[in-house]
Amino acid sequence: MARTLIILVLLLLFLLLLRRRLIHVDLSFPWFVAIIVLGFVYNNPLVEVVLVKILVVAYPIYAVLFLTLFILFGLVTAVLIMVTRDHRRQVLLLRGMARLDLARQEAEFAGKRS
Amino acid sequence: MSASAQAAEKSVLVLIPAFNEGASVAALARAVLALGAGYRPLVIDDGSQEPLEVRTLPTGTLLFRSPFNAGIGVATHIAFDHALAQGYDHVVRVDGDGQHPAERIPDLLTPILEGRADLVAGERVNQANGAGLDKGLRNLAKTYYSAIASLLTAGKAPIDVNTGFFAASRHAIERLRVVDLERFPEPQMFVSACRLGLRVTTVSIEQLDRSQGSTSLNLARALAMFYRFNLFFLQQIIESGRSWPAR
Repeated sequence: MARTLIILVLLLLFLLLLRRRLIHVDLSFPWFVAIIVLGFVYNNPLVEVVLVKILVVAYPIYAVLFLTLFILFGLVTAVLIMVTRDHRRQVLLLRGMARLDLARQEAEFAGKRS
Repeated sequence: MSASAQAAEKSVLVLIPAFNEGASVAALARAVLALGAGYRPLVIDDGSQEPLEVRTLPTGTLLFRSPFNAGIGVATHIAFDHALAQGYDHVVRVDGDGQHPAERIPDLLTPILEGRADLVAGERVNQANGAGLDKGLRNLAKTYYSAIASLLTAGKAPIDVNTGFFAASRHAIERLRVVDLERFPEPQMFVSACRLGLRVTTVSIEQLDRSQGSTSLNLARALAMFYRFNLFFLQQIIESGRSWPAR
């Protein structure tokens, strides 16, 4: 019950952030998937058992902890990639703006000379 | 014909990146315009808190105000883009804080005009000046950058790979345009130029005292620069693969 409640709170927080436009809808998808995966793992003892075997850990809770850290790392990486792409676009846009602005100034100088 | 007269015939775009540097930029632009008709100052205000105004700059100066601090790498790209689009023959970069002597620009262009070089670095003979722990650390970092740059380029890179005073021919601009220049791009640019087969040479200059503003290189940025340079170093080793060290 407590596990389901945690996932529901996370989902509510996620929807609240989206509604207040604090996170962009395109960037929010990996986080949404992460909450769904975590919810599934938290509420499915069979998955825990499989994870315990794969990760060779003594207690099921450690398996969930490892999985959470793994997802967190994945999310941070996904956000880094998105921010990097946006930064590259921003720089290209700035260079485009500069090209137009400076070409206009050159044309003004040429106009004054003639 | 003197190098200055030759440069005046050809067009030289002089990039002056500025960040909170105010009055010294106008003085520098005036000094550049005084060099001759072929010299065009391009001031890039890199997101200063008090943006530069066109009216404060002498007539004939190009000004682009970036809405945010994008870094010198992006400013250099903007200058390269503009030079290629408008048919300039050379790009020279001088710092907006007045540390680089503008009257030495023709000297920097001489090796290019004589066909001896594609990229000329203004090597600071007094770069080790200063005092205290800060000076020690700075010199240590510069020695490290220089050693790694020399290793990557088989000794072709200038000793002062951190100098922001340089001149580039059109050929160099075309080649360097494809390199993704980052914040504090100087070592990356000189190493890339050598590895792209450009002829790099140096001209000794005396760096002046900063007339305006303060360095944007604080401890955090210095560490970021150090990290970035080492990543660049690793990337170069991986890219060159079997051919490393460079011949």
